Amino acid sequence: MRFRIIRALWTPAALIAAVTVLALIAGSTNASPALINLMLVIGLYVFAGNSGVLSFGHVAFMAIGAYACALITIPTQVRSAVLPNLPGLLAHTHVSTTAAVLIAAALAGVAGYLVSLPLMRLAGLAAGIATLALLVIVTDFLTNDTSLTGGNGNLSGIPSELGLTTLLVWSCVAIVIALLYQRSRFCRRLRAAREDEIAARSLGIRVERERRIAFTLSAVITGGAGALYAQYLGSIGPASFGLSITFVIIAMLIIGGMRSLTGAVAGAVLLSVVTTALNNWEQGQSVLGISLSFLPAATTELVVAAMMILVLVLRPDGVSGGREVPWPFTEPPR
Amino acid sequence: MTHELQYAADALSAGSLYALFACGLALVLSVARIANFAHGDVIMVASYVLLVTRALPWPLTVIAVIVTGAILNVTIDRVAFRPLRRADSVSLLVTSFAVSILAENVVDLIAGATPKSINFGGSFTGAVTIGSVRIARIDLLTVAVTVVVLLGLLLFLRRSMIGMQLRAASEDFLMSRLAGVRANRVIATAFALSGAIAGVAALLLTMQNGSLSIDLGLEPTLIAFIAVVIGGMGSIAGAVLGGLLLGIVSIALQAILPDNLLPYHDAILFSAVIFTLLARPQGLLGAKAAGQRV
Repeated sequence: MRFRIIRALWTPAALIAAVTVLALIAGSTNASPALINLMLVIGLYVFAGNSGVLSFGHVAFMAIGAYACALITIPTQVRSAVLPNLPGLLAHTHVSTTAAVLIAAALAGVAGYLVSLPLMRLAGLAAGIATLALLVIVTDFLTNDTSLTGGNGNLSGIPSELGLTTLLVWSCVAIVIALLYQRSRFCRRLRAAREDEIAARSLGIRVERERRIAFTLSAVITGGAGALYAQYLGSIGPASFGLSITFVIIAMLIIGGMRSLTGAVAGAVLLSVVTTALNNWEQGQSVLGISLSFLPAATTELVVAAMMILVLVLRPDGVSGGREVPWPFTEPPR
Repeated sequence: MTHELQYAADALSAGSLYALFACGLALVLSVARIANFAHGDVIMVASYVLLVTRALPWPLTVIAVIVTGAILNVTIDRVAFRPLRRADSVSLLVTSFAVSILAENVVDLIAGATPKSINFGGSFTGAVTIGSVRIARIDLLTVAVTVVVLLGLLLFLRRSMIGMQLRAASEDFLMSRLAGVRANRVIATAFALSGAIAGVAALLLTMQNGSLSIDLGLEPTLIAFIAVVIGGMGSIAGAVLGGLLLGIVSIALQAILPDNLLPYHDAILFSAVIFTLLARPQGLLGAKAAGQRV
């Protein structure tokens, strides 16, 4: 019995320990955006990894979370100056940063649920296109509804006292939520549907319902990450929620391995290291004493795209191969 | 009446261009089951080639652009998609996504990220007045070129040997291979045709916009995908129909919407797309059986 508990706790403990150690080594400036990306990847994994349906528009929930957090944490005087036309309730509510993350995540979750009601009947390419259309709708709305969102420009003044510890705590929360879901029977049914949809249906699994649950949970995590993104930057605009961050998150998930939580975390960590190093080199700074300032400005995206293609050709299941963190000791005889 | 005719002319022109985008994508999708996210970027690279070769006499420029499109597309297939022949559709879609980002950044490295303007001048600007309607010459050219390209494609698919092989491969790939169709050759032909059509689309698009930038490929890709999905995946006629419909509805929305809703016309269009997908997940001209049969 004790062994089973330890064995069950091994994966989250290993992942959390690895993330914490790496974050502490990297320092706050490098690790904070990486942790936010980690949460975004975990959010995408909860839906895409378990259901096999890749969603191109998940950043829409990140945007919803970010703007929701912004609207309720910008100090009220600043808010009435920048967004004079806010409806009464929004104009006067002010909450702490932690509560804002929870509220933003919940709001994104509601949006995710509403969107999932119609969308989960689609699969494959149609679902990808539908989610991409959703992203365009959301960004359109954010750009144009200037009374609510400050339009195309930046919405600033979000309080950003976000420390590395807070981000680490939220990352651990995301890992634990994803893992708890992964071990639940809902996820098991969803994975069955991922492997063979017809066989799953023949067993009575309601595929649309399981996908809906995963999608909503995924929207909650992504929305929370969006709120933390807003708090980290202090200022957001619709341009940050487009295809470039979509590409980064999908690349992290694919390279790490779409089918396991370890893959999501590994991909996020690996790509964060690579992109941080490349970005520093592009800007002429040195990384661990090595300086490669001849690298031109678009190198990071090129390398990431090349890595993605290599992984897909050579090892389609990603770095993790669809498995979780391996238990380093031998299993006791059953 | 003139207003409506004006809008009709605009709608036909937009619909034709969108149909070209969709047709290129559908060719590859129906034969090789590959959703090529990089299709718009082939259009983008072809338009940069247009920028580079515009000093040449115009037939040479046109040929250069079309041939570049075809060769680029075949190269992408050979390098990125052929190793993944047996992979599932999600991997293929993600690979094409990666190729798209790769292409954009390579062009960024070579030509820089600032948008460039290109001036054609001469007989392409200006409009023709028929009765009381002013139609821009470029609109007429777009519709004419699209009709020619689609007719040419139809003739090719119906009358030529390799066209017949393409159609066979798109209906049942395995069976056609058993009947002697060379798989890689037919897929490469589909990519080449698709690239050539992308070159034509690049010419028309650049003439309409007068400017180029590295992200000019995103909108054609999105439009092509939506048109293909609405029209029915695996059906080239469906894609053309989807493109036409998208163009017409998009212009119609811009004409009909009241002023305060006008900035949302994209959002409304995409919502309509989602509703269409829900009502008919297999697309307008898609196969009736929505799920696979065992």
